[in-house]
Amino acid sequence: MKRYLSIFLFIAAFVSTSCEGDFNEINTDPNRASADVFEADLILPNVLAGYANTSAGYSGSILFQSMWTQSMASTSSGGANYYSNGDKYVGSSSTVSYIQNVWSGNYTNASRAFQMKKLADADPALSNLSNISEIMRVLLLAFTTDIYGDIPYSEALQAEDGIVRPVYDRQQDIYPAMLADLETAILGLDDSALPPTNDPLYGGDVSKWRKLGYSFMLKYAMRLIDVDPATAQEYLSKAVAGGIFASSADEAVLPMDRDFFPNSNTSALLVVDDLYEVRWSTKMIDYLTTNNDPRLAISAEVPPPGLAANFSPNLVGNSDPAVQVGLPNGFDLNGGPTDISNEPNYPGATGTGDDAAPIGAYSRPTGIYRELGAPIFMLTYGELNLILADAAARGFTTPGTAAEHYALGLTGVMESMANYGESAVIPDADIAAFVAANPLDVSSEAASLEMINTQFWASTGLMMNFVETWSNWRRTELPMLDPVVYPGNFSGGQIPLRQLYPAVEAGTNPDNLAAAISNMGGDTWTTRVWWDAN
Amino acid sequence: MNSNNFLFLAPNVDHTLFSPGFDPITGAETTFSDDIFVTNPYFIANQGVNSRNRKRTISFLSTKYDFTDKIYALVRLGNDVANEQNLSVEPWGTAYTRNLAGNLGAQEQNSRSEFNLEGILGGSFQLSEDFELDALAGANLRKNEFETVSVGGNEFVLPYLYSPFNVVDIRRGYDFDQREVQSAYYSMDFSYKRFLTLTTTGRYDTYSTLPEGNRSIFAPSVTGAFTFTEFVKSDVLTYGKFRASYAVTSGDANEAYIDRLYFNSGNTFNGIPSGSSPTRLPSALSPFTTEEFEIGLDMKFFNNRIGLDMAYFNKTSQNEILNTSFSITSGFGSGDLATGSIRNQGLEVLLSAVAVQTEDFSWNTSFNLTSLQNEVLKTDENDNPVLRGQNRATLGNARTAFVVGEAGPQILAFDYARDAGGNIQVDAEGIPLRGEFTEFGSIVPTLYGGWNNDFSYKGFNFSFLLDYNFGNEVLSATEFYSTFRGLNQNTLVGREGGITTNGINVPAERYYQELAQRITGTSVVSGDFIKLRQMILGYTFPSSIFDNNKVLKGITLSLIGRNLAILHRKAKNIDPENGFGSNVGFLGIEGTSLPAGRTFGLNVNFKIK
Repeated sequence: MKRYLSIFLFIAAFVSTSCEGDFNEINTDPNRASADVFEADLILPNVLAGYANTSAGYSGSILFQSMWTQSMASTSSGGANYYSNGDKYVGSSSTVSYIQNVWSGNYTNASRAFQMKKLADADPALSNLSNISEIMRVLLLAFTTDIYGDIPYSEALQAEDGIVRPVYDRQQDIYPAMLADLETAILGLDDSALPPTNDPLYGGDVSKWRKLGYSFMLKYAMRLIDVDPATAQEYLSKAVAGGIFASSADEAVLPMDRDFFPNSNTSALLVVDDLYEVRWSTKMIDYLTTNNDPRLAISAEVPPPGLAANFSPNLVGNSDPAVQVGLPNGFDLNGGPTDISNEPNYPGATGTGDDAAPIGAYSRPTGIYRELGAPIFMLTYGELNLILADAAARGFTTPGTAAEHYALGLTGVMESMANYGESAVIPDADIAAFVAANPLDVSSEAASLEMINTQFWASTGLMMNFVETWSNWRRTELPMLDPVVYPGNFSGGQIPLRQLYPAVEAGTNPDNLAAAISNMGGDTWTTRVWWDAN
Repeated sequence: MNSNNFLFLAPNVDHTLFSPGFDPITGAETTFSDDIFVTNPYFIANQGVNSRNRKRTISFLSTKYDFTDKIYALVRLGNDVANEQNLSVEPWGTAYTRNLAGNLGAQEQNSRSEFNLEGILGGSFQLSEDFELDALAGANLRKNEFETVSVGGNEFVLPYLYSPFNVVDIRRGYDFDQREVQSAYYSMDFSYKRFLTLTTTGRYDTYSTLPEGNRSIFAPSVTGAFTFTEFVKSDVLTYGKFRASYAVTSGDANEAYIDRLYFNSGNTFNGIPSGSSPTRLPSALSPFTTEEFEIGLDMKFFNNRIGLDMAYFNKTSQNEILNTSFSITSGFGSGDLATGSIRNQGLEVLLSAVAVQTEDFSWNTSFNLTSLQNEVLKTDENDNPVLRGQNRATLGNARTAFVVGEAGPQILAFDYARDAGGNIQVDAEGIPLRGEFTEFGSIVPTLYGGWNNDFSYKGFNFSFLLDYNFGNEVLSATEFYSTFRGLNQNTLVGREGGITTNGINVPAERYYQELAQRITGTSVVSGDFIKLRQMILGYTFPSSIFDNNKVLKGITLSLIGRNLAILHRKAKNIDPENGFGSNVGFLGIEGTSLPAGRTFGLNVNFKIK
């Protein structure tokens, strides 16, 4: 028996020894696609969703910019104390982690866009996808440089070619390069070539991508009004000539996927502490109330009385414009001199006894902002026209007058609210009446700019595009904002003008980081980015 | 979910206040801090579900065929299969989950196996009257496979029903990999009159995980030993052997599929298929080698009463494959370098003695010591530091990294900024300025070992073991958080009146919070320790009791205690042996885990006739 067993094992030993040729097959993953099998356009929805979500939520927008611009406010207490970063410019234990989300999110997505372009370039039929990838790469890095200042651009994303420590380009070199790259990509779009599939934004309509490209070109060109007005005008004219958004139907609004890519602003607001603590600011509610803005009724509500009710996301509040009250910035619930009860117009708590909610009477965002599938407004027709109105008022050459663009802009931002759903639709008649009743104040350039940019501030705030609100405020210094001066703040009593470089770069790219910090004149919350000259 | 969060409660607050940790009617977690992500430990203890079941079967079959009484063939087959079933959830009521409805982390099955098939042909030959040769040649096939299938989901619909049928949206996970190594080897062992031996081996390995053309490598070794007491006889030196060896071993990255980019295509966005590209950079790898040179002396004195075994070793790796992180601005966040070289050299000493030996009582003692010097010789072409791990407290502001010219991995962190006179510089607010990002010491000890003592008296035996370890540093998250939250003794200075430097006064809370975040070097503590590792007290029943017993030959009872006491440590707030876990990349980093507990056990040993 033992002998037969031995013979069997010997034979088994010889038979199961396989040749090296099989090794190539063994080391090929049978469950994932390599470059020769993969379809490049599968990456497109991911890149768009990534761009959208990095511009929102805890990546910065709601945590920092929403309250830096005083569109929202928070007493940042209890489980939502991290809102101190935005409301009072005071750090919390995870500040170091929050400031790097835009950096790592956008570079990861830019890497995906770059890989998508590489795959598309291998197939001449995919030229449109290749150019769209390039547009997305530029938009992702443009968003990033506006937040941090000098960032890697020309050497970025090329680890496969051996560049693992890219140089940080100066922003004054990045902007011209970005605008040129954007132009090249847009010009490469071909209506007669294969449209991209898997396009959640425009369903493959190449002509709309062209308009998107030119519209972003216009927006970024107008960042340069203080530092390089000639280039600003040059690209403004190119964009207008090439064709920007012609109506709200063209604009870049991405509805999110409630299951797999939920709107990150919504995800934040559904955390019960955030639901309680994040409120519209006094400035926002006062602006909408004073102007009888129809958007007030759809965007702000006072929650039902009592603490338990304030912490319940499924209860509907009172959205009667007459009862809306905004929360001022810079207050807390600590019972000291900065306690909210010391606020000059304190409406009192709602609820009684143990169920009393000290900030329960203040307006919070309505339920439309708490839908997981709510849209992210990447760039709207209304905003674009407000930017054109601003350009016209400053004397740039634009298709229409400042007043004309202002009217189109105001109409557009109101129409765009419909993207939030049925309950957020403002009837066309109401919009037309409001626009007619509120023409642009053309008595002086200063008055026009004030009106245009305050409308921009409010409109982008209502669309939760707070980073854009902040960038426009940095660009124009309008509307006038008084910084909150709170003990222990990290920006010397000023509204922050940038986010710090991520901690991780000190380990992975130390020399280039040090050079960048030296060029920028420091790595602080108040170091200005290049185009923010004033 | 971290269940150690009472670490951060003020010491005068009784944590039993927060029991049971949840509202009995709604199931909602009772949060106790200002951060909903700091989960109530009672909530985790009472409501947490995290079950792991592992079934592992190790089977072994071996057969030997003797051609003659000197020549044989051997075939061995070994299979090690581990099947795991895991369920992990965030329980219903967890404060930071959407609608407090928890979520299904994973319900998964995974299986991991290793199969080895080995064939050896060998024999012993008498070359002459004094020369003997034992030789063998063999081949081995090793196959590793791993597969995991899991379902997960977001929030639960009905309370406490932790099943994939009860989630709002279901998610799936799958992973598979397969590796194979084919090897052939020989070994020749010459001995002369049994006091002089010379062994040489050679091994040729081919790895499936490496790219074609760079898969195989040959690794030889040679060892010699000379028992010199055959010639030098004395009552003092009863046995002495001198040995020397030089050996090369090879290895691969131990990970399959890392030689090219693989894309994902399994998601949807509003019904549209969606995928993504990876952020791990593939690289050209080849097998790495480790060369070790060792000389040793093994001596026994006074008829084996005292033994001394000493060895010097020098071990250098070449083309070592190091996993490292890259700046995401390069498009990739991690990757592998195949050019590392690290050297370990040192001395190992084992001193053992039968200190006392009488008819009833004996005391054996042994002391071992390893003195180690580690140096990173090479990382990449430009000798850049290779980053390893970090913790959530200090993130990228404190890292472990392989730094060329230093013992590795080093802890890199920010130091104080100092002026020319060496004084700490402060900013306008009075808080120390951040200085250089510099080395704070290695996580690898320079001196370590233990001391064991066995006593026996009649049927009783008692032993105790001491461990010691010196020369390493630990990057401690506990140090950071305890300073940030004012729980560290170091933060008592300046509570009243603040801290004044150069005439500028800062309130204590602001000072310590900024200090911990800016000067991350304050989170580095010494890893030195001496521990009472184990004590055993046992009794063996006299064998005469069992003379008439048909089944038993003997019974021994032992009481064992482990991790009994830390006799000495320099780190004030942590057990210096604490770490994140077994991930090699995070060695030397402590992450607010609780210290290892003492364990006590009873062993009963039956000897059967």
